[in-house]
Amino acid sequence: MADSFGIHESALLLHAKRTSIIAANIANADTPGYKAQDLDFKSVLKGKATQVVLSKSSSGHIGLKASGGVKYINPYAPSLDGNTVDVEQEKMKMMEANQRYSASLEFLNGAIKGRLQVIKGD
Amino acid sequence: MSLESALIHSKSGMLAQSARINAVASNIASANAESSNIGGAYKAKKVIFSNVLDRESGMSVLKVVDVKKSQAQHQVRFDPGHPMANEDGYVFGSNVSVIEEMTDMMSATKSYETNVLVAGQVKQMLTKTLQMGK
Repeated sequence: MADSFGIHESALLLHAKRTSIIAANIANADTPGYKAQDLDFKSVLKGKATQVVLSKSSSGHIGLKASGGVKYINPYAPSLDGNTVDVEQEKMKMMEANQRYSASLEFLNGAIKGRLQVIKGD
Repeated sequence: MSLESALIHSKSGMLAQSARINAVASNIASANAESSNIGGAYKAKKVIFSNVLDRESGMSVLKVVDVKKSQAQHQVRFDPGHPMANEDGYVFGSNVSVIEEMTDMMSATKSYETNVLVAGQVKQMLTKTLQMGK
């Protein structure tokens, strides 16, 4: 039953992660030297098999997941202070991620409703 | 959770930008302050922010790390009749450039608004997620 909802379960997580990365980009739109990042879906799919997780031997350690896919953006017009965030572009990406997230959610909703109907039998 | 971390990012963005707006307001308010010596004259405040690792959430988050004083030149005026003039007759003004502050204000306001927009969208996504299966 673990994969019963198909790809939408992981798609939801992936778009949520992308939203977080875009939010970080927008928050750092004025930070000198900040390099904008984004998720590369292709390498996420490829890297699923080769994920590296550092183990923690003390509670003070910070877990690091070297999950592939987060990459720096090639800027069109970097600013003089080395910042590569293009706010308008990030806003568009935010909208896109939001839409895709909603779409996956909609599919999941449909699946859940269908199953409920089968259970209730009406 | 990723959506919560998106909210943390936009919150930190809003905090940093409001610190910037605060500094601008204080600079513009004191733009015309005068003093009898250069040390006592008002120096424009500049907010420095950068990404700092937040131990609580384990992510690097935007934070105000320092508020520095501007090293721009002060306005020095010869006005022996002024009550604040020193023995040579000079009055020292602030080193605030009002034009620079106004553009800084516009930039900070716009960035703040963008962060609010992001927070609103993330909130919408979270609300939808909570209603899943209903």
